[in-house]
Amino acid sequence: MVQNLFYFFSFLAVLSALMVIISKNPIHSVLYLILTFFTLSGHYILLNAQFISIVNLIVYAGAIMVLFLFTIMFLNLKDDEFVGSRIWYNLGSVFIVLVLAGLLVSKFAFAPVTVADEASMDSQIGMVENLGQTLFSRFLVPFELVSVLFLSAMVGAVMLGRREKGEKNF
Amino acid sequence: MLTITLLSLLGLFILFLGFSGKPGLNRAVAVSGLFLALIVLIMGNQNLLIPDGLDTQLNFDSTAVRFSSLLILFTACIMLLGKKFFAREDIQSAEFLSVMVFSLVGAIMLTSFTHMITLFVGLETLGISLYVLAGTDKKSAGSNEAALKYLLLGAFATCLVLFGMAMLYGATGQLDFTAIASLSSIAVDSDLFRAGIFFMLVGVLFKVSAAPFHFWSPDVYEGSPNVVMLYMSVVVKIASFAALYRIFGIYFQPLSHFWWDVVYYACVASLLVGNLLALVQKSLKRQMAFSSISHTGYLLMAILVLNKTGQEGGIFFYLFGYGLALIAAFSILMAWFPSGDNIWLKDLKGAAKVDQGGAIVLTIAFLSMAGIPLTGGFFAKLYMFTPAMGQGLYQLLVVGILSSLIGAAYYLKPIMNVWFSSEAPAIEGAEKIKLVGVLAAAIILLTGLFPDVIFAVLSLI
Repeated sequence: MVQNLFYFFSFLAVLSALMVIISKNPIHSVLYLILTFFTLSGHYILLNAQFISIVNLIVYAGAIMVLFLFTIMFLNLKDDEFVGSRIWYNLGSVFIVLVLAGLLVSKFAFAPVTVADEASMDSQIGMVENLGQTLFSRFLVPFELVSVLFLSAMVGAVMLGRREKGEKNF
Repeated sequence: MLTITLLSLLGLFILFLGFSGKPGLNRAVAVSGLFLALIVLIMGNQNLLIPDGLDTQLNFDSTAVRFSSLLILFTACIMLLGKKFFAREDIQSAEFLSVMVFSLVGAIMLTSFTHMITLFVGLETLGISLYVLAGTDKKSAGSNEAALKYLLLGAFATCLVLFGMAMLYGATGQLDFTAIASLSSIAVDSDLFRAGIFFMLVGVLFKVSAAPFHFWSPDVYEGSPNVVMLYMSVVVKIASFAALYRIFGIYFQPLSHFWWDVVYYACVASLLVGNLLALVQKSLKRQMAFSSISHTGYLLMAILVLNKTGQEGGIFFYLFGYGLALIAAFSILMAWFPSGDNIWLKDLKGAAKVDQGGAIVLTIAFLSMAGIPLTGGFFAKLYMFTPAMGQGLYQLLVVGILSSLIGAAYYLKPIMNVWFSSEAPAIEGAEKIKLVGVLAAAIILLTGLFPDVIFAVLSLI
């Protein structure tokens, strides 16, 4: 069952990630990206990490993707406005990605799989309670410092997005 | 850690000061707060408010304190220089200054991390604040382009660092740098580990703008407002280089055979690309961006030497001298070109006729960057070349010396324009000379005559 689900999610993840790049319409790309996030959330559940799975759905598939959709609709891009005609750029980037992917796959796809030691493994490690304990004890300082990061991002967003004198509203 | 707390609170405080609507007050509070933080950093006990037994994942050893004090000092200098910029009506000085202080928090984390999580949070705090700072001049198309370009490429580089970290974790089961470094190189040798180190190295080389990962820096430097460009080429360069040094010069030094070759070729490429492309630029800011790439190349030579005691003093001296020279040069350039747009080399023509004092400071700064004797820059380059010679890296030395010759050629161009041009001056008028710039130029000359002064000061920290 788990094995089948794993293959199902993986197939869907790779397929929808490919479609993000292939789709001509940016809205389709965003929708495929949401699908990718859903399949990744499925993977997290298979790994017994429910909390990350839900956060992934709420934050990425929910908030960020809605933001993406809004931005794309505001910009109102047409198909022909995209820089898709520079064939050498596209071919070059495809080539580099294929080389990198080929190298990584050839090295890791057939590498021996290290299986976790069942006796010492704690299957509950990804649960909310354990995650919270770790965040507020061992990783307390980095956790608090992330708030500086978010505050800075928030101040920056307000600063850049503020309406200036003489600008018109949307 | 105490310094980080203090700076975060300072950033918050400046944010609230924004209600006063007085740019001068915001700037004065920010600068005095930074000097307070500097004193606390050097004198204070960093673990004052930390409960016993809590691992902060940060280690304020002498390396961290040295580089952090440099960061705070230079940020204060840049804030002092940006008086006109902060007084502009379309710049929100309180928000700008607080984002700058927050980015400094990230920069200090980059000098002191012991764990991958603090490295990553530091990189992001610095990075995200910078994407915003690059775009602060909202009405300028160049500034918008710089912000967007920096955001897209910077996010990509961060992904690479993260990818590398995940692989290192997969290979070793550890996220703590000291724990990974204590493993023997035979035990960790696997494809996963090699790929992890490679990706991490690529991401960090992007952040220090080493060739061939340098494509963002000329465009971003050119488009950003002058204050931000100065901040990027001084403070951000020091912080990201301190991070590179901490990862590869300290923690992963015993594992050098996994990364040495990549750094070697990046070093050669940075030296050549930076210096050759700087020769053909018409914009002074672009030229400074390419020269900044070449300076990364010289600094990477110190990482290649693999000699902990010899490296650190040299790297510190180099970054100190480079930062001082940039601050001295920009103190004059920002006074000459207050509009904050791009500065063209031809605009400098005949400037000495209007402002002789400024021209002298500018000349000292450029000579120091070129590495001419009697300036600090000469000894900085010497401290990079001598250990490399001791290690027998002769081919690298030849490239380094040749490229510093090319460097001297393009640094002479603005100097020639300033002094020996018969054309009418194009600068917008001289104002009273900046104390920060003059002080910086004086210290450049002082370190050029007595370089041991810096090492004497260093031994106190």
